[in-house]
Amino acid sequence: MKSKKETFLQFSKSLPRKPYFLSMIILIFFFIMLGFIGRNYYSAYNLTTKFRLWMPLLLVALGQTFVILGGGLDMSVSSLLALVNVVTVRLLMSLSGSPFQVPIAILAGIGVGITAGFVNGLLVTYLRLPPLISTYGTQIVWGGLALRVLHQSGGEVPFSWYTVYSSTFLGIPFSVYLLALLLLGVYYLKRTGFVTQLKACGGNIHGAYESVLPVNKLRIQSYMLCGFFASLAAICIVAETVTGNPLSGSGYELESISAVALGGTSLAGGAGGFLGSILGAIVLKLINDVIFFAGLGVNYQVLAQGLIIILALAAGGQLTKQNTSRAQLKRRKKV
Amino acid sequence: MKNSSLTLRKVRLGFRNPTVIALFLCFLILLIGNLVSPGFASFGLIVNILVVASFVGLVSGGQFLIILGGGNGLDLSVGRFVTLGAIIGGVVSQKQDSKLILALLAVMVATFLLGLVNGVGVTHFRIPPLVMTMSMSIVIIAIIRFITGGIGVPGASKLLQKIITGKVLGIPGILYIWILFAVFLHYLMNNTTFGVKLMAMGTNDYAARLAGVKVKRLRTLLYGFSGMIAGITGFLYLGYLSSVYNISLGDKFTLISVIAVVVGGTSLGGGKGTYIGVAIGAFLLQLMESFLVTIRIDQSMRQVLFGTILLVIIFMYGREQKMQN
Amino acid sequence: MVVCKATGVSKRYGEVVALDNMNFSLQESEIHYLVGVNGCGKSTLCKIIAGVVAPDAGELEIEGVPVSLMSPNEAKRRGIAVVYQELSLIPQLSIEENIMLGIEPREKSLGLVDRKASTETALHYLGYFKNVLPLDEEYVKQTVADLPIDEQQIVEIAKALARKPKIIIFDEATASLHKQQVDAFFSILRELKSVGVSTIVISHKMEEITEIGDRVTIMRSGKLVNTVAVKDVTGDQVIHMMVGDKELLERKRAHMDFKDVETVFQVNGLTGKRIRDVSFHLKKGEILGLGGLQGQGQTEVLLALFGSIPFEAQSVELGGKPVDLSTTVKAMDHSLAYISGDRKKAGVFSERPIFENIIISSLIKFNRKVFSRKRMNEEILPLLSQIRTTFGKLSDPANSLSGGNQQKIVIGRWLMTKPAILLLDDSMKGIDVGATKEFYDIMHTLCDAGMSVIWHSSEDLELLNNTDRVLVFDSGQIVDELVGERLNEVELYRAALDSRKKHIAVE
Repeated sequence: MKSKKETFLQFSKSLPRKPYFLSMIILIFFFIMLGFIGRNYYSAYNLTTKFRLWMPLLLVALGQTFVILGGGLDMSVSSLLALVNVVTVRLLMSLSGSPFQVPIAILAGIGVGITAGFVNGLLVTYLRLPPLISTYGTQIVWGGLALRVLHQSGGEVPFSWYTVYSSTFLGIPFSVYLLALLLLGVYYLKRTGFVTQLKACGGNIHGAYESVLPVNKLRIQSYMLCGFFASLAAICIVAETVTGNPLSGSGYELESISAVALGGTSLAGGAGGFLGSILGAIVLKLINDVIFFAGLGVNYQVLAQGLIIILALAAGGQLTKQNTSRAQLKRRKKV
Repeated sequence: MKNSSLTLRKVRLGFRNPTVIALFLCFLILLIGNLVSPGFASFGLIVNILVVASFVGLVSGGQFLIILGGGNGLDLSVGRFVTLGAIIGGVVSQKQDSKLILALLAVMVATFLLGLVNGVGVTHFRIPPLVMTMSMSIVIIAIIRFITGGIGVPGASKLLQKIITGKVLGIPGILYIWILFAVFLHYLMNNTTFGVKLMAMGTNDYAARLAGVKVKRLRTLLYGFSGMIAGITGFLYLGYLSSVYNISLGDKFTLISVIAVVVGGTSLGGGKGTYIGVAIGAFLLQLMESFLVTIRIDQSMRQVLFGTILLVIIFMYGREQKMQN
Repeated sequence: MVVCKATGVSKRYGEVVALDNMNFSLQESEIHYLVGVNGCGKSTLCKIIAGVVAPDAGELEIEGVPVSLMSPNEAKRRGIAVVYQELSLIPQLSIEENIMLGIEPREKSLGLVDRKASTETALHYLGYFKNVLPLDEEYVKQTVADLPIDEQQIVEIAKALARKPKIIIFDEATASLHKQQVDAFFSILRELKSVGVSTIVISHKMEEITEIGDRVTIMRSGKLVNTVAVKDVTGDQVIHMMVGDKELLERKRAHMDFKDVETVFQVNGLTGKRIRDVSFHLKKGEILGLGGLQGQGQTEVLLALFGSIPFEAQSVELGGKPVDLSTTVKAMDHSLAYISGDRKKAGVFSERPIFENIIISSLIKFNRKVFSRKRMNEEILPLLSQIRTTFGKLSDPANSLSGGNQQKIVIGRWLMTKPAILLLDDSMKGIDVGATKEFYDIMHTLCDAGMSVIWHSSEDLELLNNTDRVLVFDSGQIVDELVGERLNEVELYRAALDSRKKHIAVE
């Protein structure tokens, strides 16, 4: 049996080879900086608020990770957020007074998300449409449907939603519990071998067929999971804003893909992980805070956001290259 | 007997040719549109639709080159390049006709260089084109904000407006520019080494390298061209709008340029497609939009129909090859 | 008991006959070797048994049941597993995940993967290689992409074993293994035999056959030569059966003496991936062959000289002057040309017109920016008729042609650049006999006019009948040089295999 210390040493040694290493370093750097320049950044109140605002991107990035690992891409998540948002809000309004108001609205929202994911999955598997362009197509469709359900921002959501969503239990915010629960679910999927099989589809689809995996089913499921996570993100947005907005998700498709890429997941599919996507999403969110507290203008915030993603990905590419050659070198020495 | 079956086969083959399908759809929409609302297919209206389509068509030209070049090529920063072109053009020319050439040069140089950054990131640092160009569009919006500094941008000079909207033989100047551009791209793809190399690279990266194509260099250049073409389009767009009304004026071009390229029959895998197809694709998209407006379908339903039709078109000829075994 | 029986199986690829009325039978728990010279149809036969390829004619029986139109999945259900040379592994996954992919052991309660059992199973199937691998729980957690090619091959073998097949086919699975690993592989074969599994092994290694094989089937040109018990034959007899009546195939190219001819190309100490210290010279008008078993570095030498893969060399001289061949364009500027036989991957631009396929390299080499189609056609048409290409219009896409004609398009592309040194990398693969002969004539004429050729071919006869000198390769090294009388198949195989024996003995 290994001692705890040994296990820890081993872990820290393997750390530079983890896909999320780079985003972790950036994150730690940002946190330290914020400790110095961010006034009261680490107050419980501020952190709770921040985390709540990060939540939708974290969730969408998690969902996007499934799709990308399986060799796909989902550009439709942005409109899907909007669609789930307005469906939930409309149901809340029309069921006002009914005892089942809340569960029905939430379940319907999630149902819409999963169904949309299923449609995306069908398009890219059985109909063999290219993921990028077909999810662009569904992005337009979901967006149109969202506008049909609700023409413009508005609608009333019981304020209790916000109260619950922003509440804390034992000092820990509700959103953290929600995320923890979902991560437990992701962990379950990892342990059932689902994630591994999905990676096989994304990594070498011929090899996946050769191993008699149900390739199409796995890929459809990945899109459904993405839809599921997107719908939860939408519901979080409803709770935060307490109103409906048919344009609420715009930009989330690209931001989530950036987060996934920053987290070290290969956009070609097959390699990467969920922890990375979470770190990547937080990095994206923190850039603005760092620039803000550094006293630079809002224009610099935007510039830095773009540049940091580019630099991080460029560095990430170099890092992987180095790691591979180091691994090969190590072997040669052994032999 | 044999002859007629041959003709039949040709017709059937024609219906598998994306350009033919797109053209056929254009006529179909014009026909139905004219039945539903007489005057829809009138010369004046068609010209109006063509003018709107021309800007999409120009931007799609750059997108077309990148997608043709293969390697999952894609430029999601074209929309911002359009805005940047309009803004640099406005700032440099200061509404003066005499500074128009200078402004055009400034636009070309700036957007070409920024486009090259995209290319270097994609080829030398192996950043996936999707994320690279998307991050670039964030950088460009920052640059735009630095340039404008929150203050308005001077609009187009008289001459520029005249070039774009002034009519010769009833046809506005921008359409002549578009036609010239199309002829140029057609020549480029069919009679120059550049075109042959580009198509080869898009079809088979490795074989192209073995045939003597400097793949990385060529691909980097493509991103420069795409940026530059979008920038020039933005400059021309300024002449059409006569003023920069807001700094997201080019954003809509990003998505629509990709769609126009695909609807025009260019394969996202690279190496297959014609600019004529792309131009027809751009026209078809605009026509569809106008048609849906004409038959008074409200915006949300329009969007749903637009997206669905798009998926159907892609289903008809944009499918991937069967993978299994 | 016969577990697998193929009767009268035939298969054509276009004009090439891969299998011609082939008969084959596999007994229960036997180790059956399948041998023959390159391109004799061994792989096609295996693909038919594995359901990957459907035969044009003939019958296939698995365990006494006739099967028709069997899909690969159906074949797997019937317990047929194949270990290919090209790997079916997922590079991004770990060794364990690859071995257990799709057959993960599960806990009863939640349907979770039983990680302990999974690791144990993976280790169990890798266990045969315990003497040559640092086997432990950490080892199987490594990513496959990080493994050297031989260990990837081992993982591929373990993956097939873990699916508990009844018939297992090893398609040159030992090609990249070294001596100790081969020993471990033998222990697998014995173990499989003892539990009643039948194996088909495709291999070029004679000493393997005599050491462990039960029966051996020898094939030639898609036909069965003989199936014999290993104990009844010697290695030399097998080689003779593989090669056949060599007197029937005559050599057309006259033996020439190149002693006093000027050297146009001189390479010293070429080293790179899969290439070890290769030195040779090439005379003006000479055809130099690169032979030996497949995949011994011949292709890599050609690619290195064409600037496509990095290399180091003491000196590379062209016409007595040192030259830089580090990029393809530089190699082209020095009038080198490379024609790969893998036309799909490295030759043809399948959806592009024939016209573009042909002109591309000349445009680049002669630095022409624009061209007129009409003038180009005037150059292309005589060239295409010279190499007897059949096509419809120059604007037809290349993939509208037959494989042979596609390859001629690539050949035309390079002849148009007027090369001084032509690098042929198995260029005639898949071209019909008539056209191939024409091509040989063209090569000979061009060489008489002063062009030099370095020619690698997997068709040994092609090599021996058309070259002036053959360098025999093994493991990236030149192990023998055949000239004059020694240019025959027996010498070639002996050189390729003997060196292997010595090589093993040294280790």
